[in-house]
Amino acid sequence: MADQVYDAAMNYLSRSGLNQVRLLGGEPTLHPGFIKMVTKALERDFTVCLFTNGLMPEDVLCFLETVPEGKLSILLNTIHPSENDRKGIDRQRDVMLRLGRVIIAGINICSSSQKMEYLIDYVREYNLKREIRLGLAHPVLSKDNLSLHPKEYQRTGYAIYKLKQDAAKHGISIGFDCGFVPCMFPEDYYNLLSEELKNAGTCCHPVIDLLADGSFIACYPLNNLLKIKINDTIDSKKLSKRFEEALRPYNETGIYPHCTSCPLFKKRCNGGCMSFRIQRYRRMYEGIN
Amino acid sequence: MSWHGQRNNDPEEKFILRNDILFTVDRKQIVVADRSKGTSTIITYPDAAIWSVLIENHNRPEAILILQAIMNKSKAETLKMIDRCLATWRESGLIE
Repeated sequence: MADQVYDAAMNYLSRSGLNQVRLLGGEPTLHPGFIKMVTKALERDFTVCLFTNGLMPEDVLCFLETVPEGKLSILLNTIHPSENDRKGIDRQRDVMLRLGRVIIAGINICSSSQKMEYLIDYVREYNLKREIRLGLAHPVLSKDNLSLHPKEYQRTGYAIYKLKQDAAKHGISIGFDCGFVPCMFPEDYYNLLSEELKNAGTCCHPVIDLLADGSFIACYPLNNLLKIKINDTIDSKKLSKRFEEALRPYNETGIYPHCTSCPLFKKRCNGGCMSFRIQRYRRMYEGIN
Repeated sequence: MSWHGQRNNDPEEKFILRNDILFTVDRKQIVVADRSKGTSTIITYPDAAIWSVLIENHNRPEAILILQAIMNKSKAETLKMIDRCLATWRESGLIE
């Protein structure tokens, strides 16, 4: 991302009344101007939220240690300890050791067999923030990426429920990114789940990311649906409206054919990830042409 | 009738989706998205059955037979329903 795009992005945030700069990637800490970007944000009195895999250069880690309390939060996308990446895991452990007070550990779930219990150990061992952030790997419209298929959602839901029970014993809460649906979780347990979990099904809406080329997108999975170039007047309210209009035709269905006859549809659940929903339309369209 | 883009001189008998129209089949309905207008239309039974059969069947007499069986109607009643649906969807801009 060029300097002028980053400056325009901060102007956009100010114009929109938003006080946090969120840096994500790729891996944002590998950007050669990363330290300068964070410094600029702090000088303008923004807080900074960093989405990282933790595999950051030493000078970046040293710099982040100096950021004043309350100005930095980090969502660390963790590597499972059993993965064959000793160097990466060791680096993540070092980052957690040194920045643990501002880190929320998380995982992007791309398989229902993924183990998650190690996150509880990480929180306890490195004194991380007492929340675990779970994300689902969603399909990107323009790519054939690795994602968690809705057929695997229920198995994943059981694993999350188990994680939640274990985490609660240690005063650790579970936070959810977008795309979770209530029917992932066992019906018998549904009433036992927290309000946050119950409401997770309604959170798919344009979160608005800015790409390095200065184009706004509704979210990364929908990056080729609509792109809007940054300018000196646009604000988050206008952008949200534009993206919501573009997504409106797809609001009346869900990720499964049975979503629209589910009593929770449009009450506790908006039908899951929009990218999956749109792909249901696309497949039908492609099938007849 | 023209099915799947087959050309026919009788415009009343065409079933060709407009370019900006996408649809998906849900358990109890068909949802049609109009990308140009930014709207969606929900089609429920029995019209949804007509949409499904027309879009999937190349052969008009066979489509009519299937719909007669699904809806338990006479041929004349079935044809009347098909015509009504086609007129509605054409007026709504869903089909050409």
